Amino acid sequence: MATLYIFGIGGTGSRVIRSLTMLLAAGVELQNCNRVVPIIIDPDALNGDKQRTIELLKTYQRLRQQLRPAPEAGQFFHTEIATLASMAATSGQERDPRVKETFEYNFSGMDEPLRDYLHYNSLPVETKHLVDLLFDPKSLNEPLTVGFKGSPNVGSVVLNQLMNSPEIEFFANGFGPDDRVFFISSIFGGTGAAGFPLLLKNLRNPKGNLAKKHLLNTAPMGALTVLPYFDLKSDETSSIDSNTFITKTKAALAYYQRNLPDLNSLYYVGDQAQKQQENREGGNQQRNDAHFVELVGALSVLDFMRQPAAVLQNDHHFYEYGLERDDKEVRFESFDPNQTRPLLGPALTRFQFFTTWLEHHFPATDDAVYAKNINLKNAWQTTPFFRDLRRFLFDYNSPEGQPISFKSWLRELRDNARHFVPFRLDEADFDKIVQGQEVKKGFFNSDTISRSYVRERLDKQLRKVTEAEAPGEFVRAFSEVMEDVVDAKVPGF
Amino acid sequence: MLQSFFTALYQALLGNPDPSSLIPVYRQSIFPGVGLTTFFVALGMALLFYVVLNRVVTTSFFKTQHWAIMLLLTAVLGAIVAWQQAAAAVEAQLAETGEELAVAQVSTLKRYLWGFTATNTLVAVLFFILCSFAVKSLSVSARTTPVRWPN
Repeated sequence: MATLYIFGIGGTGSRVIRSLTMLLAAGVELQNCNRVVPIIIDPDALNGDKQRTIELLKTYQRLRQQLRPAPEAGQFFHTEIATLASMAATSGQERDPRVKETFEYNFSGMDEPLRDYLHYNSLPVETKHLVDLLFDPKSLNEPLTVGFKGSPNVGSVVLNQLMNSPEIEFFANGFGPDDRVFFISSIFGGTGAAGFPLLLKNLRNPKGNLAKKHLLNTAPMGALTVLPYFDLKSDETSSIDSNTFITKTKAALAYYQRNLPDLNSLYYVGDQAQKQQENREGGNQQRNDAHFVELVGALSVLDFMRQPAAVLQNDHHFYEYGLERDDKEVRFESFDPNQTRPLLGPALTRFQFFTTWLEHHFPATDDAVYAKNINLKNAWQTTPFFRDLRRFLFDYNSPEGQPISFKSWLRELRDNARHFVPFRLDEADFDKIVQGQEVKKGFFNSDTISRSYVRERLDKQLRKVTEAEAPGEFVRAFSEVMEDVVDAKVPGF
Repeated sequence: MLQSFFTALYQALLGNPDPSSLIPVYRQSIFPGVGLTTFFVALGMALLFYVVLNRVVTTSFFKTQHWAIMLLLTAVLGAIVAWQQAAAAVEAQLAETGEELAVAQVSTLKRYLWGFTATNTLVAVLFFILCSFAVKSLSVSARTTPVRWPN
């Protein structure tokens, strides 16, 4: 079973993984692998973007674990998402108690300033001078608890500890012959810009101490480098100034040009900044709304996995992304009709229909055959699977201000700029949900997507099963019905 | 066999026909005729609900309350069938034999006819429930109405 390891570095890494998780939930296919292991690397323990993504990944993992039999390709939640620690069972390794059952790398004890981390006071005087040359006093004295605040020179020192960690050791021990690695980071911040080249260099190091070096040296490795795509509001008290984003990007690109010889595919994505985000240095307050560029970033993972290993190995590929139409409000029509539109359009529409049905139409059909077959009316309120699903889809029972749902993700994409507005989000009428692709009632087409039309198909598809099999049957039937409905009725895909 | 089945059914619920001079017409004509008609009405209503409305065409008429409406309609039809068929058969019998009923007998006859109508209403309900369970597996959208069992 091939595995894709994704290192999501910094806040951007977390946000792109969030978008990727939504695509995988919608059944977008990740080829050449059955499982994704996201490893989020961010020293900012309380970072809002990270916490939200981890919560989302945990919820996805819990949902996916209860789907028996596993969903087939194209069905909702088809791809398995696992933690690094849980790989022990499949990679034949012994469980390492130091590797925690979580999606994030454990930066324990990162509450000291860089000065203490380097043991500055104990350094020889020559080294002190070198440190003073490389780091300004502010960078040296600020605690590392909220990351590197846009300073890659700090990140590149601290992140070196990664290579000696039990997590990386465990990752290398379990690495298989068909596995791949993908890095996601931004180029204009601190953690991502520093962490990605460092990790790549160490994983590919033929003289390093990692197990299975031969596999790591030949495995396809790709990366997404997110160029600036937003501005931050000006704040004199903050260490982060978005006016430096372009300068930092240029400097980092110049470094990447010379120092990434071992990377097989490098994806660049960025956009003209169209909206200013709140200036937060880190912590729980750093919770940026989902952005269209992050969704495009997630597509790079799909594209990387689509390529055969033989094409990637021992070669270098560079990619950028272009919209078919430079729309400020992006719909499915804005995408290339031969690439992104067929990849995203039907899958996201199916998942949006699924969400719409459960939010608006299930209450009126909770005594229909499909619902009674799995005792859904009762299970909807009581079983953990359906409570998790409701939270995943539309923020049921989410703590205030901490939405993780598909619906809130779409809402944020809609409200951010550039706007991604494929759907009318609060519309219950299936005929009107997809923007620009409404189902029109005509003389020869009186059969639009009514509640009865969908319900009848669900009644046929969803079989009577035991309570334990209900989640799998539920997801399978809804995936198939929504696929039929979208294929048969929604124009333009 | 049908005659004895329906006679036994109605007499078990209602007692012997009254006035007694009309017992033969009830046993030979009214009980089996009304019983059979009621059965086919109930079967027809069950097929209409389960097969026509919830298989042949797509409607939103699949819920337990919709089934209850069909049950009510079947009960009303059962009552109409019982009253009309019984009254017509009694009238024809009296006309054929030239028998004239006394005032007290007319009152007894009407009471029995009302009782028969009420009984057949219950029989129609019973038949509809039985037919529902017999044909619900043929349905797509109502095969768990009014209850999931036995599907």
